[in-house]
Amino acid sequence: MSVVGRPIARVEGRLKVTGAARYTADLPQDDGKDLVHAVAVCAAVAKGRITSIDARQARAAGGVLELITHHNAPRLRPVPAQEVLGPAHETLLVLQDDRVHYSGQPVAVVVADTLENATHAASLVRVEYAEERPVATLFEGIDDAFDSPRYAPPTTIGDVDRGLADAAVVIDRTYTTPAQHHHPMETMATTVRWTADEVTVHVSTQTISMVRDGLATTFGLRPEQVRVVSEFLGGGFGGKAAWCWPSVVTAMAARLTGRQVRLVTTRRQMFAATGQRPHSVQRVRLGARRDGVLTAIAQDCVGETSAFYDTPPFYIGAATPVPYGCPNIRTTQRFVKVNCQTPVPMRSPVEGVGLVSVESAMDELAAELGVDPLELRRRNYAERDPNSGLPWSSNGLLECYERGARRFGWPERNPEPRSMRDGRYLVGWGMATAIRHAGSDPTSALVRLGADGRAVVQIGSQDLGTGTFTIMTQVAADALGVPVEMMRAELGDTDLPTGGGSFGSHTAASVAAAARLAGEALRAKVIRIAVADEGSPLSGASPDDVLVDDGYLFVRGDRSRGERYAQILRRNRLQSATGDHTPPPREGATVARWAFGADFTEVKVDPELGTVRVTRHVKAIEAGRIINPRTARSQVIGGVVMGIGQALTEATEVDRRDARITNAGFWGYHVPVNADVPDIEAIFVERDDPHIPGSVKGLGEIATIGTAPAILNAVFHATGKRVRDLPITPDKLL
Amino acid sequence: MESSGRAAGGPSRRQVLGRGALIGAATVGAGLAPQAGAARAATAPPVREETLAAEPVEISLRVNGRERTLSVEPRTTLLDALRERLGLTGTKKGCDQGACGACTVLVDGRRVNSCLTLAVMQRDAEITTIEGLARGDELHPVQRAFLECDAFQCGYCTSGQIMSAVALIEEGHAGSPEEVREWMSGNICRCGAYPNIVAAVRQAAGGGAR
Repeated sequence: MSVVGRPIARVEGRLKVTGAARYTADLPQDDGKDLVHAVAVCAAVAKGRITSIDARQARAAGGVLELITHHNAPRLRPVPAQEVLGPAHETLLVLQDDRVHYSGQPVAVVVADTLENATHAASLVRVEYAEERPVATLFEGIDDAFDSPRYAPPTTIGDVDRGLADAAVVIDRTYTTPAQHHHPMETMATTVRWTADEVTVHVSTQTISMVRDGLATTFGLRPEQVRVVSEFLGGGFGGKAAWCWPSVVTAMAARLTGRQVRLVTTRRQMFAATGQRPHSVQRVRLGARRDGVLTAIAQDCVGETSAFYDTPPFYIGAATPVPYGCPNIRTTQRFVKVNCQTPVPMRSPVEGVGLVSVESAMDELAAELGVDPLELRRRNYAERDPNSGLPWSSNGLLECYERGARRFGWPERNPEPRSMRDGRYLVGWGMATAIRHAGSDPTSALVRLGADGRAVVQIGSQDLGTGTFTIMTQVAADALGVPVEMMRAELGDTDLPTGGGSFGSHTAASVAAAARLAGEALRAKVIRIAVADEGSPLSGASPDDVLVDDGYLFVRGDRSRGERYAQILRRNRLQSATGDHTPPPREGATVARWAFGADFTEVKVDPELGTVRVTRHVKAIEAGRIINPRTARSQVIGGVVMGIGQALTEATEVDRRDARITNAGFWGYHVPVNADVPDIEAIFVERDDPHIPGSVKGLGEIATIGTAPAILNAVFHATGKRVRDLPITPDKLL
Repeated sequence: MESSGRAAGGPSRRQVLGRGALIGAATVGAGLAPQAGAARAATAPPVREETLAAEPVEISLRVNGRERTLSVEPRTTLLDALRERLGLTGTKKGCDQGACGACTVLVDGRRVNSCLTLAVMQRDAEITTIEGLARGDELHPVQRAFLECDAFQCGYCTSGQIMSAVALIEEGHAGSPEEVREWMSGNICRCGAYPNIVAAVRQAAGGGAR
């Protein structure tokens, strides 16, 4: 039986439960002699100019080696290609001039022999500013909102105005979602050694190749002079997907001091270091016939971007692909420049935010029409992708609805709001649809087999914690035909064959495709060697007739005529083969590749206190074939937990007077804790997809899309009150 | 450093407290520290020299049953001493503010956020870190349960979760899933492995897996 599809334990699990897994900030300190520490000093105003920096006391403090400001920082080259480097590239021209664009922007970096000395010296740097009035929130600049036709073009299908005019019922509502921060448990850590020949960077990143190319461009190096390593990553969720200033200033410090420099951003600095999910306002209009069939969907979104960023891309907007069959669809995205860090993707930047409004509006439409919310969605099931007009490559959405609803007990729902109770608690049931584009990136793998029969699979990808090490191992072992214990995975190093970024739900599909190609290529190569090897029992057999099982190669029909990989390799040299996955081009596609899901949730609301608790949640997902149900289940549970935070607790709060974040820590920015989370059930509706290698669609984002709107809808069902402003804190229900 | 002073000012709290107390103060109250705008005097008085010395002191720490001698400054947290001086990097820094639990270790059997205590305060204590749980190749039952229940993804909070779990089982707080949820709520897991963590703790406590 194939190891692909089996719930094997994480291959790196033992390292993680024993504390032996080395994350970036854990790396050995190079004999403890050379490593020094950098600490950033960040701007205390959101807009203005630095008028003076008094660093005398800091420079005189014990152990200080270097103090970098815009006066003495190495000059950086702008990185021109937005498409290559993500949305944060312009923010990376740090320490280049006296301008301050957002609170928390680095204005100085102190390097000292110990972390304590660097931290202390940083506290002694006195910065004076000529403060200007910042744009603190998107509402202040909403009249100046601009569109970005090149990077965030509108979607127009059919005639929305006519569809609305023809509708029997029109729902016209506006929703707001707050800025959020990713908050991986590991903050951004970077260690850089800069020698004459090579720059070696250990960094917490979801994209080692982006950091390599970005640093090379910025510092005027060739990419091959930069090596980037990120083996164990303490989460990311998009917050480590874009290239950001900590790695730039650490590289500056390493270049100026000639030492190996480590910079670990503080939790508070994480609010300005890596960018955020942007604050958004979403107006949705749904037109429908009396039976609920949609005649028009219009979604007009405004989101924030940073004050110095002119070309915001679609993936920081909320305007979302629509999951329903409807002849008339229009989505538009506009942006407002705010004195904040440049937004970046956060675990489904488009659907995860934009479907909050669409799915809530669908629930409002269902209530208006007196149609069951699930039935309304069934009636609007899209037979083809409404966004592209193409047929689906595969689509298990209806089965997600059916199995999720059955497991949850949806038919027992009393449609009347405030009708269900548990003692003094109001009980609400809500649901939502989730969709997410399924793609992959160009990825290369190398599989190597040694004379001991052990194999290694290498890909320059990253493991966010989602199980990449494990699924690489499974797929490569299966393709080569060896037991999974005989395969080891290596990733997270630009010296390895090139992989893509670990974001966009692309990693599993990309890595699995490349690992399979490389494993199969190596299997074919060794078979060719064996059949030509007179010393082999397989000598003279047709390569097509040689089968492999558990590391044993034999001739079809005669299991006794064969030998093990190890025996062949002992007579020949160590062997390896590569596999290169090239994703199908999006241009000219003939099918639409998407993953699907349906969330069903129960909340209990305290009518006196306005507190909301999620008490159970069922999520059904169709993401093609699941490589490892154990890691996949954990990923889905984690996505639902993040959705609970999005719905109920998480918001980055900004002081409107000075555009500074007021809750910059776990003490003020509330991510869900154990007591906030109920039992969560994940159901996998599996589908073969002939248009996707291995039928792997990816889970990272579909895991969280749909959860927040399902909770919003459940809160309405419980209380009769429709909250259109996330998160649903108690004050909004009282 | 969180942010610099907004404008040059008179003697700030940190200067008065001096170097020795700085890190401790910043550690416990980093979220409250009014770095910006604490003083907005138009003219800066002469810079004051620091008032307290912070010479390293030689201390012994008893970690995972071994006596370790090291030289630390009084302001060094137990967390930084473990990680940066003793090379015990299994204990993680998640917030350095006592709000996430990633740095949880056992001090005399009690769970403690090691970012909120100074190394020099733990001279006579018995400290246990994640590296001290397994006996050779044999994992501690809580470690085994975390593996079997897939009670983590990225693994960064896992050391702290496991140390918390070991203590709460000892405390007798693993009697029901609800109790485990409540008593494990000082340990944040952003990957959201909570249901599996509850299952693992219950399994290790002998209360059934799922």
